[in-house]
Amino acid sequence: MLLVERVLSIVGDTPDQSAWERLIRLFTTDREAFYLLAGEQIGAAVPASIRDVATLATLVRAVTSETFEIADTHEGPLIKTRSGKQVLVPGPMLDRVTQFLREVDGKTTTGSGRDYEGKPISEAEARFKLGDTETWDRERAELHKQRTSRPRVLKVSDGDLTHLRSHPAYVTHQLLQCARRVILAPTSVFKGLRRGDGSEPDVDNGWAYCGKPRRVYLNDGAFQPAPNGMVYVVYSDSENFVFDWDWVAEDPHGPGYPLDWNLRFGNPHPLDTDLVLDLPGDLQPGRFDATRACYSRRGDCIFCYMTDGESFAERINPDLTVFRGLQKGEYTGFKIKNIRRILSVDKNIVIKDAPGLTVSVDAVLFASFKRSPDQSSDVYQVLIKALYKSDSEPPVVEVPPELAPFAA
Amino acid sequence: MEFATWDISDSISLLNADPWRNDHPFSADIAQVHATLFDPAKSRQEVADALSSWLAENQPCLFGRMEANQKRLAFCVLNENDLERSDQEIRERIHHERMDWKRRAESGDSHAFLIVAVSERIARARPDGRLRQLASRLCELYLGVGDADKIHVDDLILRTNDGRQERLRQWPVGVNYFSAQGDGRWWHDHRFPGGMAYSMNSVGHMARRHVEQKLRNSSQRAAQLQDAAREKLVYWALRKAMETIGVRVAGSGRGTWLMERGKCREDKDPPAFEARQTLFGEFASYSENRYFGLYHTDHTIPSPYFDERLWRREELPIRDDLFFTYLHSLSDEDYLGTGIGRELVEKQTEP
Repeated sequence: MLLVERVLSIVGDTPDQSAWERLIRLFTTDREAFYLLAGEQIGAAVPASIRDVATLATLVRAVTSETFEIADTHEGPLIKTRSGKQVLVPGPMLDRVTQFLREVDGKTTTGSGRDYEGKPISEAEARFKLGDTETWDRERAELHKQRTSRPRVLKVSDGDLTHLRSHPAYVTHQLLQCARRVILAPTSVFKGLRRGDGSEPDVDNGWAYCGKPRRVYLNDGAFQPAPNGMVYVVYSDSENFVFDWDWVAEDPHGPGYPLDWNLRFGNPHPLDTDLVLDLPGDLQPGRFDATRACYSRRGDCIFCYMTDGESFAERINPDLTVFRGLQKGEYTGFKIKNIRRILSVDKNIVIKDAPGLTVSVDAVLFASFKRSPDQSSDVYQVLIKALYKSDSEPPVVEVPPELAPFAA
Repeated sequence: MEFATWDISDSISLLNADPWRNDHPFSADIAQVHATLFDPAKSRQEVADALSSWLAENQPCLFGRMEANQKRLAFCVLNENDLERSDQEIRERIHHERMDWKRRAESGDSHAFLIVAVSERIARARPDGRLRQLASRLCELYLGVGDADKIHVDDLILRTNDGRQERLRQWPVGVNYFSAQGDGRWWHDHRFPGGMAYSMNSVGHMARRHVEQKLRNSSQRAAQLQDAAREKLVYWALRKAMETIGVRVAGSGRGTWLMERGKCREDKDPPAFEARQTLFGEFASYSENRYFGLYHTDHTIPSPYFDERLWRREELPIRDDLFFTYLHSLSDEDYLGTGIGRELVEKQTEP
């Protein structure tokens, strides 16, 4: 009997039933006919009474050859595949259709899992379940590439790990949680940090990894939902040492991208391998000390936290990024970048040059302002005032002696 | 896709550490393989190879050990990168690896598939409701369902050629949960390094493939069996299955053991003891139909694994509703075929 005749004999006389009901009946009554119908490219010669069943059978094959979700829409449950194919399901039939889609793909829930003998099946069923052989080699080659590629392992330098002892606790919690997760599953990756002329090449050629963690971590280790309109950025140098990690404003036109990414970073870079951030297993937050600022050799930048309020980062210019409270936006600290370049042009920021180089943070801040003459001084004034607010002197920072060209 | 969920990632974040593990460290073999599994620089293939080596030595199922020794296991390794991604991306990875396994299986190149979530956080988690929720969701991403105490199955196809005709045959494949939490506990025989795993293994598919291969190499035997149902040859695997279940030993951590013959109603059927002795050797006095166990070995996710009230073997009821075969009753002729099948295959498949 021809395929069309077989299908007509089972579903031809119930054109008023939904296509799903008739297709399921075809599957349970003549399994081979179902699989043949799903695999055929049915032309216009198919009788009108079964054309909907034939079309649906082909769609079912397409759906089960990919993965899919079922979404609630105003029209009813909608099956959506990853490639965008869509099929509506009558609401009352959702459970039965879901079960049917599993069964045609070989997945069932049964009374017993044992069967040594097996049963014969048709070529049509095998082709439905295994796909066209023309694609097998290509797909296997792609899988092989994914299986055999080794992750790129990022680390944090010992020096930067030591600095965490005086940073606010949330900085360590967010390294352990947010930064680690962003590295595992970034939404966008950029090569090049646009630090400007004369900047450290290893930093300028570094990476920015962006992601959307679903939680923000606080000083006590507790978490809250991630702030709206923000992404998380992790920065590394070209040798895969992570030196900074922050919440930043998200590009409203580019989900998963930071605001002004094209000013801040090089081009988006497609990832060809997995990434992992390897952190010490016993890493714990230290005790916050507002009198201490730290220099990151890997990032060629000075971190200064004035308060321990949980914060996001806002770039002011190529040399200055400020930290602002997540709740109220107050200034909580700042990062001065390109210290090597600043030192090369402004020796006045050096307080002591032996045994190591000691610089005053407020002087470095002021030196960075001089490099951006078009920049409004407002931010700088606020930061300098905050540095002098407390009774103690503004922090000083030791930097490696080799940073200064005049160092012995 | 327009929308995404992160149930797997969020579930892992919420796992509780297992305080029991502090006083009961992992067995040496598990600790050793963990050094590789948790190395962030390893590729998925290196992780799979390490798991395969561990299974070749430690897999309680002898069929699985055979397959591991011959490097015929197919893996879907879900590493930390995968587990941090959306559920939809995880489902996609499982889908592609599953498809590749099934394609290999059609030619007989593989019979077993393992989906392994490799994560130290999972491996050290407490076996409580949160871990169960994670297990259930992972199963759902694979099979579309994740109910505990149910028998969920996949299927597997084999293409055979008896010299006259090419045929396709299909077997249901049981899906079984294993995890690191089992190490040292009453369900020690379902332990698995690295985190949690779903193991899919079709003994029937494997048994048939071995028989067909041997018959291709032995035209004399093939001619002898021309009229006999090849399907019955697969029962050579029964003895191996009985060996896997094993004889009860006092103080043993086994979760299953053989039932003395005559204790279940199916044992009234043939063959006679002499025939059974030829087929089953040292296990001839045990039932080839049923066995005992502390949990239902066909259930995909046995809920007792996550019941923290069940700390001691003595508290668990013993089940006697566990079957070696399914709706089958072998006639004398079939046992003849079984014997031939065993004769054909067993030496070649010894690990």
